[in-house]
Amino acid sequence: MQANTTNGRRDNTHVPLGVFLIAIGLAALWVARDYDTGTFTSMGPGFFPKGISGCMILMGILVILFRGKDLPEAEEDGRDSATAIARLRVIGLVTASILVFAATLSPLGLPVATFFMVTIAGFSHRGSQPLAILATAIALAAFATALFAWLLGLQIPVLPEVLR
Amino acid sequence: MIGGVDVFGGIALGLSVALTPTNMFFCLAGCLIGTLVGVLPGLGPTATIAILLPLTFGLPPETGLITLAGIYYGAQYGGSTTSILLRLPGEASSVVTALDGHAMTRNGRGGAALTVAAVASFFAGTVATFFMAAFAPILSAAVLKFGAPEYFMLMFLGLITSVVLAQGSVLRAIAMIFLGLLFGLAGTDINSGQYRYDFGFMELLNGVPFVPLVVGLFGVADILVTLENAVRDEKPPTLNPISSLWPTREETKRATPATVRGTLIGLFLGLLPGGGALLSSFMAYTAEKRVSKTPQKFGTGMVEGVAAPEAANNSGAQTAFLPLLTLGIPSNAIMALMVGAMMVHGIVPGPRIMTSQPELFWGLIASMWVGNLMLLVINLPLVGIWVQLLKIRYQFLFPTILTVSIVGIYGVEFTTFDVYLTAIFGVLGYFLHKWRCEPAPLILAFVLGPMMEEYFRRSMLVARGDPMIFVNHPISLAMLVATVLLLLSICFPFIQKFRQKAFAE
Repeated sequence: MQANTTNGRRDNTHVPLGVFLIAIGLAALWVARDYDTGTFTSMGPGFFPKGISGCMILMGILVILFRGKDLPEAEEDGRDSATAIARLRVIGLVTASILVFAATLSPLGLPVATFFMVTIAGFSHRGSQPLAILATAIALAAFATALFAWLLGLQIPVLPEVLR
Repeated sequence: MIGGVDVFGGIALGLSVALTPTNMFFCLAGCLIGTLVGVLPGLGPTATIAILLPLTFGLPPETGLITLAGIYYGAQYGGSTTSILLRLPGEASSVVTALDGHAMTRNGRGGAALTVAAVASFFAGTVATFFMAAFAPILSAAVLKFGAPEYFMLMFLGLITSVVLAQGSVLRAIAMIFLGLLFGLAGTDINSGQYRYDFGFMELLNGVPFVPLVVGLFGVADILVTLENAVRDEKPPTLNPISSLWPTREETKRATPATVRGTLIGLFLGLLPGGGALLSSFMAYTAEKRVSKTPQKFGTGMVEGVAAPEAANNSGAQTAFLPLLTLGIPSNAIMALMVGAMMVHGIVPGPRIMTSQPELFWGLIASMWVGNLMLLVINLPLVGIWVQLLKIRYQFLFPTILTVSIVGIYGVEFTTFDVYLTAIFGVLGYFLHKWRCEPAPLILAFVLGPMMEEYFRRSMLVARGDPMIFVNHPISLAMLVATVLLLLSICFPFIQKFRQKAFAE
């Protein structure tokens, strides 16, 4: 009976995780191909990279072979309720907000870059009013400038490049 | 005098450091931030310490570490408040407290439960402080005899123990260890000068930067996961009026031995790699249930079920510092963050800290006691305010977290390269969460990996390439045996369970 319940619980994480581990392992092995391996007793700089890459591939294979049976009998909490589009929206917008901050910080300065980051990230939260997002962005831009540039005195560009 | 260090002199020195106005202020600030974090669900201490790490780099080293430590044990207090009053454990280590703590609130004894939790935590914190002050010098003296093979085996044992004690899948924890080791390899190889995994980036020649990795894996990934699940968050919790804060005489009589047992359990479990506060509180609750004459009553508002886990998570949280300060080896992800903070200040954690940086060592230990006292005094009167904070909507909370962490990361090295890296690690952390992998072993391996490689190669050099050096040194051999036994202990039930399932199919 117990076997039935465990088989009844589908695990859809082992294949992507296993593939990810194998891919990382293969890539790491390929990058390390020119590093000198040496021997076990007198190791070169390539010994650990190659060894660990191999272990990564092995782990990936094991994860796929175990087909999720390595996981504890966890209670299903309905975590995966979000749709693919909702998920993509969250990841895409939050990641984009960080990238935009990094790209605009130097040319436009800290307050403007923070404003952009918070605005873009704000839209990833469902049910937020655009006005509330803009207000949060303005408040946080002021807060970040006050805290980091003035209070902590970090050398962060504040003014846009044209005004400096 | 133990190991050439005067313990009482040390404590006096520590208090003189911890009681300077600056350090008192930052200790208080750390405790308040920690409590805040403990209260707010979905923002763990690991993520917070990672996010606030850059802000402490401008402070003197002991002040910075005192602040970070305050956040850590402050979170243990804060987590218990919302568990007891609202059944909303802000911290994983307070989950068990919610069982009986919230039941006590429903029985109209919520105020007493809060007091018991606070006093038990304070008691445990005090005992843990003196335990550390007494044992750290002995351990440090013993460790000075360690050579490269002993250090290598100790770290290996630590990694394996953290896997065994990890929650969830052992297999995936091991996979995370290898991933962490791989990240740790990037940069210039010390022995040969060869650049490894630098991908042509100058910024990677010193290795993958630590702060972007932890902020990405814990901070940004947490935001992504919470945003995805945050459909039903706009519901301000209602709070029942809090009863008298004083426990009855009968409650006190039952809570006292439970506190002592919880403290002792925490003291020892906190020392284990991968242990710390979480494991301690679960074990203490289970132990109380076993000792109790009425185990069936647990969950209905037993005061022991509040006192023991709260005492245990606090003493466990503190003794977790002991392996870090004496061996230089972090036993969990938060301690790995502390290593990161020390490294930035140019301090190498290890047995020599006590003699080379006595102000830092004793100041940190003394500040833990001072911080615990502060938490006891400030927290009970402030309960109402903390609960009000739960009404902050995530809509405003997450942009604030994002801003502080991303601007803070830029502030470490003043390069946007680190910011791009954070975005990448954030997405990685999100997927690891989806694939039910814990990021904690990854961080531990990332910090330990380079040290392990270094010690291994140094051992080989000392032994002229004879791997028997690990067996010939008695301390190293003992650790090797312990490691093998641990490995067998995970493999056997694991294989057996798997075979059972395979046969049942």
